[in-house]
Amino acid sequence: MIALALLAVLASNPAGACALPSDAVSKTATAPLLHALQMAAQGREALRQGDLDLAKRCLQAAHGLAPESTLIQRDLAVLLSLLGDFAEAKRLLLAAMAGGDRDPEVHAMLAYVLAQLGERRAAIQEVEAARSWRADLLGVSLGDPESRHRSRDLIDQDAARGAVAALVLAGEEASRGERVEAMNLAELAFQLASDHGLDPIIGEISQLFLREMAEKGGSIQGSLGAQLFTEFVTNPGFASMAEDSALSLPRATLGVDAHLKLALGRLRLSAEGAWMQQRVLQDRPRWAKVELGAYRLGLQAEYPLSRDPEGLVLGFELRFLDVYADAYRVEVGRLLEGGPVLSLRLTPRTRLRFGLLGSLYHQGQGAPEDPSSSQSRHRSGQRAVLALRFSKERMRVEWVGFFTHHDAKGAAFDLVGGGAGATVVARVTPRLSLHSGFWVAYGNYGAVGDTTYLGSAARRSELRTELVLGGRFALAQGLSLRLEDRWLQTAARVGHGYMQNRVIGGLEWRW
Amino acid sequence: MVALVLALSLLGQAAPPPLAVLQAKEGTIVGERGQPLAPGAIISAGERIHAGPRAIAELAMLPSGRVRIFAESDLRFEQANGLHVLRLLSGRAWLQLSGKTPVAFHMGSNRLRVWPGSSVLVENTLSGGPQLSVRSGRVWLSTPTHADWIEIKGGYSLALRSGQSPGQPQKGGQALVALLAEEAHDRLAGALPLVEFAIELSRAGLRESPLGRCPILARELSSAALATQEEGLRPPPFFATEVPPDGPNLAIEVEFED
Repeated sequence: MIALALLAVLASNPAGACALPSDAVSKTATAPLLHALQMAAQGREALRQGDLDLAKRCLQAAHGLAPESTLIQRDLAVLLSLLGDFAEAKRLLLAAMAGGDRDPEVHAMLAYVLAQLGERRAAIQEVEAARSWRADLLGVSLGDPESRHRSRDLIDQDAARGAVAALVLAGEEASRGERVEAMNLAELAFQLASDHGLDPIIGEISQLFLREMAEKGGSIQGSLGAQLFTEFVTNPGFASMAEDSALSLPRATLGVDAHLKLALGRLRLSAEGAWMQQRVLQDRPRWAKVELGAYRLGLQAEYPLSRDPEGLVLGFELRFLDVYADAYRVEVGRLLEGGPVLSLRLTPRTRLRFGLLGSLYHQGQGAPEDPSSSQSRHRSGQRAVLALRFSKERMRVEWVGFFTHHDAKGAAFDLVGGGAGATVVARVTPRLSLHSGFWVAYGNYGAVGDTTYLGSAARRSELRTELVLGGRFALAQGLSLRLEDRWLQTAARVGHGYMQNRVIGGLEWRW
Repeated sequence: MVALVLALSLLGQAAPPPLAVLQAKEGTIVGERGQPLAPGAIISAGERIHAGPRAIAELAMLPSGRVRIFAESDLRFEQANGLHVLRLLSGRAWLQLSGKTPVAFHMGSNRLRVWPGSSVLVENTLSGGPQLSVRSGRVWLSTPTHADWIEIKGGYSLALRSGQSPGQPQKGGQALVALLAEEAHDRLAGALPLVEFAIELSRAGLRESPLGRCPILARELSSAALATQEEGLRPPPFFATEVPPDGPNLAIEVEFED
């Protein structure tokens, strides 16, 4: 009876060429499922041989016989995806998952199907569940930051995967405007494909990618930014300078900066320039000395020592800063600082940077004209900095520690100090980010004066604590609103300790 | 009369029930009597299959499951107490179980109970001994030294040592499963071109990219831009784009103007 029913089903289905084996007709209760699975096996075999039409007939017939079979649902979904019927493939995969087929590879398949259907957000969710390098690469191309973090590891693991990962990551970097990084990665993909004799298609696509990049302007990228802020500062100067202890004033700041970055092979060069000017908005003559103007120039060279352009990077940084007060009537000081910086990606989400910088400082305001004076504050020294950054899609945490040592040209004002701090930046929504941080720094100056007479008073120490809480809201592309509160307390000898609170609000524009 | 009774009893003796159907294979897969198996072959209760060197096969398990067997492996399909039993004699097998009925998975004297919705890789090699990695879902394990069932969840693995207590499942241990998933992907028909599509999407991203625009847009969260006004009082930020320039510094010359 079952055999007759089966024959009737077979007669009515379109799987004409999908014949059952001669010993297949059985009278057991599981016969329909058994025959369906045998047909599905024929479908798989046809798929292996590239006969997609026969594969489709067999798998559809099998699905007709055993519509509840999750195995057949999945296999038919794969075939329909290959044939471009993504909507039906999605329905079948969801049915298979509902039926208990929950291995991560089903999630990878669903991610692919959803990406083909343009359902990006849902596809990224499936990428997370898939936990495979292939799915991660799909996630990268869909713009998922977590997939990007995970895929960076592939570059160093294996030549074939490294080449493919570099190629996909290059496209993703390019889509975010990171041209230099994109060129580096595309060149790496081409290099790996050439050196290891990989599938020539990878090399060809890499070359094509590089050509397309070159047509779009090559590996030079730049940016401009402008900021205009007003702030309300309480106790802006020293207690000793103040006629009362609750000073407050409003101040405006205008800043402009520009960045330029280019790649010469694997070498990355960047330059930056910045200028800013403050304007005290109340009782200006009295506070001219805290009304600052400054400009800064910087150069940076980076060369990746690892295969991954962001794996282990050796860099050299050089910066020059010149600060004035009172509308450029008074020079506060000049600083030239530079040295090697080593940057290492510890995990896909964690980066460590270490720098050893030498510095030359020339103080204008308050320093004796004679540089050989014992009170001269012109100085040279070193700064060592260690920074650890952890990034997630919506959050970034950064810890920084540093040590400073400076020899003053004169007998006084040598400096030894150090500090540490941390910052958390969280992207609450695509438009809104909040940030918070704290910093503690200690400095010891001296000896200032003759230690024979002054004893321990000849040394001056300062402990500086700073807390920051703020947020940024994107008003339009490139334009954002910033609100922030900064609290600073400096514990120092009498007359030099102070507390400051600044409420800041303003606009920032970037292009 | 006796002959008739004997004949009837022989007719009434049920053939072993079918438990699996070979779906796809590469390399040599042989059955109980050493006969080569082709896709569509039915495996009945009590039968054993063997995967030769460099072979791989995928079987559909009745009523609902997918079993993969890898090179140099022996797997027997059994039925006991109404449960389907997979007995891994040697090598590696991977079960993805759907449907509603649990399956028993034995390796030596260690017994596993696999729950529907679970995916588990079981290995029993001379060098490594019995071990298992759960990809998703959950399984329960009972060993000769530990009769109580131990639950092992997705993402955990456990290595068993002869005569020793099984210990606690360890998080991780998924590298082998990932490796075998790769092998199945590459050698069994039915893989989707995820990587090819990723490359295609990636190149489309390049064509639509805002090249020539500001890279800082992508670094919207960079705190380098959070405060410009403080920079005048400080040494330049050490990491222009990574470390907030708002941090501490000891350049307090303006303040020490006595």
